[in-house]
Amino acid sequence: MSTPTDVGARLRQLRTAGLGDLLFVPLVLLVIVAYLGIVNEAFLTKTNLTNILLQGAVLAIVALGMTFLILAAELDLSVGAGVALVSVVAALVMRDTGSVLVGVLAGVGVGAAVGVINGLIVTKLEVPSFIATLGMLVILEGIALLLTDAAVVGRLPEGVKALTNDTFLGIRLILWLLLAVFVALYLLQSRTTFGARVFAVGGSPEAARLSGISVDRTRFFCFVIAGVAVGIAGVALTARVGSGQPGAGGVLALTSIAAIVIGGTSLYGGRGSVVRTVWGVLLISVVENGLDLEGVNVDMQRVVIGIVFIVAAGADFFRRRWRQGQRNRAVEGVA
Amino acid sequence: MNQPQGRFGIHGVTHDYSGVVVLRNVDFDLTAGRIHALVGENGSGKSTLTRLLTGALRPPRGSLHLDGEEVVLKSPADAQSRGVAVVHQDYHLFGDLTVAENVLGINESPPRRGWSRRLDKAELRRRVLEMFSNLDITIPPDLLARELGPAERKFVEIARAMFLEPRFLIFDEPTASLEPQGSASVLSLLERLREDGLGVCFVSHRLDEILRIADEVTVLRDGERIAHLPRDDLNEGTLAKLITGSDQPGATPARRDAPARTGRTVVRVTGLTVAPGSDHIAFEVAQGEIFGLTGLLGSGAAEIVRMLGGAQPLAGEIEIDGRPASIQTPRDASKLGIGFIPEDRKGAGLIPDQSVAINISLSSLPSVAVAGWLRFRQVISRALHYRSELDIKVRSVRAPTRTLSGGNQQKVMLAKWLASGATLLAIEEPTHGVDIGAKRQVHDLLREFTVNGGTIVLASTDVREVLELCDRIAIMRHGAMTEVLSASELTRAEVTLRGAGDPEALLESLVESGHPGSDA
Repeated sequence: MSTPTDVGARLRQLRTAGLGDLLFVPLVLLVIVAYLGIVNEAFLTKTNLTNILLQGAVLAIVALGMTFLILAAELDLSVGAGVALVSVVAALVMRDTGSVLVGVLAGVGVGAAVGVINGLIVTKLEVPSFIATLGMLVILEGIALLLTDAAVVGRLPEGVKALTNDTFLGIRLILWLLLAVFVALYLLQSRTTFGARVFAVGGSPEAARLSGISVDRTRFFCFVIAGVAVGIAGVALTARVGSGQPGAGGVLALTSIAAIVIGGTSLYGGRGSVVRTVWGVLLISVVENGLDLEGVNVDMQRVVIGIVFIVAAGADFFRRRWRQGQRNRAVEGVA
Repeated sequence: MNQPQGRFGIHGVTHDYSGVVVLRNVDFDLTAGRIHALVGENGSGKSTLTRLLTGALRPPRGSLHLDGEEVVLKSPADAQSRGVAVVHQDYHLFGDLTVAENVLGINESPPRRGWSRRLDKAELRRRVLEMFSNLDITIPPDLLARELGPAERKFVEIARAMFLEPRFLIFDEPTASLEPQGSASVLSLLERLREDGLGVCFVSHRLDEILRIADEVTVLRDGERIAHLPRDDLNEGTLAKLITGSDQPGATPARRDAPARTGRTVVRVTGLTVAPGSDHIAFEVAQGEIFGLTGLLGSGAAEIVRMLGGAQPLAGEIEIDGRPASIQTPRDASKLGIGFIPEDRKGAGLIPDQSVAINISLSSLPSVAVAGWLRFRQVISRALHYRSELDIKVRSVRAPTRTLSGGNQQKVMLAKWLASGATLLAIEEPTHGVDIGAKRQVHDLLREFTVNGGTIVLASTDVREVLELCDRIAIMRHGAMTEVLSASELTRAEVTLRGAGDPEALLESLVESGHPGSDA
C-alpha cells in the first residue's frame, strides 16, 4: 500500500530523526559484548549467555510493564516491593496447597491487585504517582516481611523449578514467557487504540483530554499493566530461586527506570518504546554479568551501574548537541 | 547614516531549520536613538532574526556587527554583556517574587551587603525605584508579580531588561496581549527609551502602532527582506501590501451567499454564567450558522466556547437539537458531536511528538480500529485524505505535528474533528498566530464546514476576523453579553470599519456604548 514517495518520506524521516537515535544503545551494547568476549573467554559461552538472560528476566518483565507508565508520564516505585510480595505469596500458596498453578495465579493476582490499587490512588485520590507508589513500596515491603517473619519461604513443590529448568525447542520456558510478555506489550503499544492513547496522554494530557480521551482511565490501565508485569516477574523470580523472597525488592524499581531511560524512553512521557527497554535491560544485564566474571564485588557493581546510567543519559545529551551542530554545518554547505 | 558608532546589526544572514530556509541573505541594523520596526507574517522569519540578534541562535552564514566591529554572540548572556537585551513576547516573571526581585532577574551583579554578601534588598529597592521613576513606571516594587495586570507585567519585563543597562533593546510583540490602553502606555515607554538614546527593535503585527512610533521599517516575507523604508514613505495600505504581497489584505468574499439552511436551532443555552456571580447569558445558534463571540481579553467570550466544548464544566442549561444535555467534560461534548479547538495548539490542541496521522484520528480512534486493534491503513489513508482536502502542507503524514507551521497545525485540529464527524465546532481564536495566507484558508474551510451542514460557535478577539467570518456576532463585556448583531447590521458595522480604519476602536465603541444600529 505504500507508494514510493511515501516510503521515501519515511526513510528520510528515519534518517533525520531516528536512525542514529535508534541504533545508539544497540551499538554500545555490541561494543561492550565484543570487548567482554575478547577479554574473557567465559563470556561468550552458551551457559553464560543463558545465564545473563535468566538473571535479567525479572528486571526485563518489570521494566517492560513499567515502560507503559513512563510513556504515560507516570511511574511506579513500588515494583521491587511488589515483586517481593508476589514471590512470598506465590511461595506460601504453593507450599500450603501443594499446587504450583494455584500459586502462580495467586502471585499474578496479587501483582494485578497492587496495580489496581496504585491506579485508583493516583487517578481517584489524585495523589501524584511518585508519592502514592513510594507509600505503596513501604506498605508492600512491610506485608511481605509480616507474612514470612522476614524468612525465606522454602519447601516448595518440585514443579516450581520447571519454569527455569525445562525447555521448549531448546529454550528455557522462562525465556519464552519473557518473549511472550514482550510481544504482547509491543503489540499493545503499537497496534492498539490503547497504545495510541498512552502516547497521547504522556505527550500532552490536556490535548488528550480535549480530544475526548479519558486520561484517568488510560493512566489507570497503565498501572494495572505494570502490576500484572510485577506479578509475572515475582512468579518468575520464585521459580528461578525455588523459594519465596521477602527481601527481593531492593532497588529493582530504580534499576527498571534506569533500564527504560538508558534505552531512550523519555522520562517526561510520550516518547519511547518497549523495544528500547529491551536494549536498556540487556545493557545493564551484560555489564553486571561482565563485572561478575571479572570478579568485581557486588557493591562495586552498583557503583558501576550508577555510572553507566549517568553516562548513558549524558551521552544522549551530547549526541543531540552533536547532531544539532552537524545540522548547522550541513546548512552552511547548502546555503 | 553609515557612521559605525552606536550601531548594531546583522548582515547577509541565512538560516534554516532542518533544511527549510527561514532567512535568506537578510540585513538588519539598529541605530542608537531610533526605533526600527520589524514586520512580516508568521513564518516570515521575524522570530528567527530576533533570536539571532539576541544570541539565542548563531547564524550559520552571515555576521553580526557592533559599532563597526564584527562580533560573535555566544549566548543571550553574552549578548547582554555587550549591551543587547530582549523583552520577549510571552511573560517570564516569577509569580511569587516581588516586582523588585523580578527586575533584578538573573542579573549577575546584584547589590550585595556585608561579609556574607547577601542580597541588599534595600539597595535593590532603591535602584528599582530610581529606574521606575526615570521610566515613569508607577508599580510598587514590593508587590508580588502574580498580583500584576498584563500591562504592568510587561513594564516589569522591560524594567528587567533595562536593569542590564543595554544600548540596544529588542521588543518581540510587546503589545500582543494588551488592551488598547496598556498598549498605548507601552508604546510611550518605547518612545521614551528612544529619547534616552537606545537603539530599539520593535517587532509587531499591529500596523497602526508601527506607523505611530517607528522611524524605519523592515518587512520580511518568506525569509527575505522585501523592504527597508523610512516611516514617512509608508501608510497602512502600502505596508499591508508589502507584508502580504497581495493587493487586498484580508479581503474575503462575504459569506452572505450562505448555504440553504433549515433554520433549525442546534444549540440553545440559558442561564449560563462565565464565572460565579456573573450575568446569566442566553443564546441560540441555528444550524449552518457561524456565531461569533467577541470582546476584549477576559470578556468571557472564550469561557463560553470552552464550556460548549467541555474544556471546563458548563455552568448553565444547554439543549442540543432540542434535547437537554449536560456538558461537564470534553468527552461529554464529543459524544454530542461537539468538537473543541483550543487556542493553545501546542499545549492543548495537539500531541506534538505524535504524527499528523495519529493526531487526526485521536478523537475517533474506535472508528479506525476493530476491537481495539488499530487499522493503520485506515489511519494513514484518512490522514492522506484530509491532507489533500484541507491542503495541509507536510511531507509525510507520519511527521510529528510539532514540525508543522501554526496554520497547518490549525488544519490538523480541524481535520481531527471532521474525521470524528463533529457537527458543531466550538473554536477558541480560530487563527491566533496564523499568517494571513493560512488564515484565509482556515476561514474558507470553516465556511465550507457550515455549507456542508455544520454549525460553528467561535470566540475571537480579532474583530476583523469576526466581521468577515460570522453570521451573527455577540459582544461580550465583563462576563455579560451586551448585544447581538446580525449579518445585516454587520454590513453597516463593516462600513463603519472601513471609515474608521481601526477595528480595535470599533470594538471598543461597540463594547463601551452599544452599536447605534443594534436591536435591543
